[in-house]
Amino acid sequence: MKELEELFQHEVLVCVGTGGVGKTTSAAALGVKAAQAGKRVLVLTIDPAQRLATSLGLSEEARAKGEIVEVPPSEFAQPPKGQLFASVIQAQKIFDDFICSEAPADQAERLMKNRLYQQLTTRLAGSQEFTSLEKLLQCHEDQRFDLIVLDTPPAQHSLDFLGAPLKLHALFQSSVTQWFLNSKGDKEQGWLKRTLSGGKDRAFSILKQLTGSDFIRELQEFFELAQAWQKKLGQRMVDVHRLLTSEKTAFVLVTSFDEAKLDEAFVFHKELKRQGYQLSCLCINRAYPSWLNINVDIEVTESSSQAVQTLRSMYRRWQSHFRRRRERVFKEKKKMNPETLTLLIPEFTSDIYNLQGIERIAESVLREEDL
Amino acid sequence: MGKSTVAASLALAQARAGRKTLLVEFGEKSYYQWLFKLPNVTSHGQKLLDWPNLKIALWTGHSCLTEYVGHLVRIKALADIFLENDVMRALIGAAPALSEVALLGKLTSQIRRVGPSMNYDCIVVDGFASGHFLSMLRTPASLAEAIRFGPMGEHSRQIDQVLRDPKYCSYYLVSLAEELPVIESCEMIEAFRQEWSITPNVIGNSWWNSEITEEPDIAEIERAGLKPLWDYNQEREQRQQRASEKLKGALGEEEKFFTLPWVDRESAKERIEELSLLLESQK
Repeated sequence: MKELEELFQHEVLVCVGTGGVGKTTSAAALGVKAAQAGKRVLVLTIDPAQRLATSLGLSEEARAKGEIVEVPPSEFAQPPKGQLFASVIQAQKIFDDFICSEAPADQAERLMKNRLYQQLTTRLAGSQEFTSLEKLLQCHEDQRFDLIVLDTPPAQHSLDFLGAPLKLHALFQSSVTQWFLNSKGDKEQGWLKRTLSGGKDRAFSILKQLTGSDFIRELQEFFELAQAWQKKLGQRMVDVHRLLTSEKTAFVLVTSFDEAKLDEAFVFHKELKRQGYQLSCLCINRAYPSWLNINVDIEVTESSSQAVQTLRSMYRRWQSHFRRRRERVFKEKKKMNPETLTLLIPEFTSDIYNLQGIERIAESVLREEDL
Repeated sequence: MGKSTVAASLALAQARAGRKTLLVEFGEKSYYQWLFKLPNVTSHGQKLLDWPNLKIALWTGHSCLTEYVGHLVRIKALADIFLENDVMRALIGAAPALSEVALLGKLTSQIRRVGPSMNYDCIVVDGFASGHFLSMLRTPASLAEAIRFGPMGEHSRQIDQVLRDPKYCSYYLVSLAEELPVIESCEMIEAFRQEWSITPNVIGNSWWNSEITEEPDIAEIERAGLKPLWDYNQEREQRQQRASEKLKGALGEEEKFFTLPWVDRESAKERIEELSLLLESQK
């Protein structure tokens, strides 16, 4: 498929979409396709199912360490022309590594002992997204791969992925840190006095009333120790933004054939464009059952058995169901960039959980025009 | 999985039974707004279509904190100083646990008798997808562990207690008859059991009811070109059988597992009405 070859000319493919639409599977299928086209491909996934991970050659240890492992050619039903690599993104480890490389050893050690850091780092809003993008950036800088396919963390909404690192960045902006540091070491009386003086301090005192001094103390330490790496974090986010908005990167929106999900996809497309990103591919997963042909009518004579007549009416119901959906996509797609490639992945009768399954998906990916 | 559709159907079933019900979504953007083509969805709860007793609301960490601070501080100007400054915005946007605790705090506020009053017989939450939801549920306990003293620690402990109490909360996992969702559901059942000593309910969604009752003539089906559909039908039934067994096995209590059929209706409203009637009849 010529359009797919064009898609694989990019250096980074970012697969976005809401949870449960089959992002990981679709990312893996695109990786396989690109390897078949002769590329040296890395698929970065968040949390693959055990059997898929095993099938990609990722042992328990490799997963835990976030190692990059080549998928053994022997695992493929048909070994590809190129090479396929895979790695699991381990948020906590990447965050820890990032801090250890940026902060002086004693500060890093103190931070690791901070109770808020221990309990909640990977749950800081945006930290999963940040670590995914940090890993992407590292792998891209290595220049070991022709193409990196990034599977993104599950989000309620596709847009969250792009906004989240900014939230994290905002948290560590020096104004926030300074605010906490300035408030440090004040005695209770000082507090009271300052509460009367500035709005900022009043806000702080409400926060204290809400949360208590123990929480504030941990937060203060957290922010104090964050000083060493907040600048670097900001810099990395700028670098990531540059990479994601450059021509090297294409976004693939994975969606299911659900009405509201499709609606969301079209909104996402607009928003991406507004923010300067390029949506190159709309990938509709489980678009139609692999056994269904929506254009052929099934002939049944009147003497057919009850079972055949029932099956026939079932078949027709399925046909009309998917025809309706297809018409909707056609209608909506007219509003999108005409160059956006629409791929349809059929729903298979058996579950997909290994590399051969992914290969089957990769084989049966269809352009919308071909359906 | 159809999680949001099932959540709305559960809420409607409650409302039909005459209970004042609130259907809540967490997050910045509303899915139900799309689904029901509503002009907007706010944090206060608004009527949902022409269904009596049912309201829908969208809560964010920020909206929940705003209400709580307003209630606590009473003086609006002071509350605004707190909420409208950039530092607080950034903090609420991303600080560890604040947003989660605010959401779960509001959810449990009626039971804990804390914060602005809410008056519902039942609140149905359309939770985040599996792993995301579990980590949210873990937040109050983690925070209570990290911050033992002060209001934050105290509230977190109370919230955690309510969430664990089967008298107040029941959990519904929505699964499909597919390998990955079933594995994920089994893992969640295990997590609920281990960490909260709760056995959740499990709903097998989009279950396919074969309409063929007699033993068919396979050769005739083949001649009619319907063999692929027949195979699919068979395969799907087997898959459902396997999924039921696995989920029931993981639950250990058969009566906690039930199924909802695949409903082919264009309009979300009709789909949810049909499912809510089925849920009522399963009770």
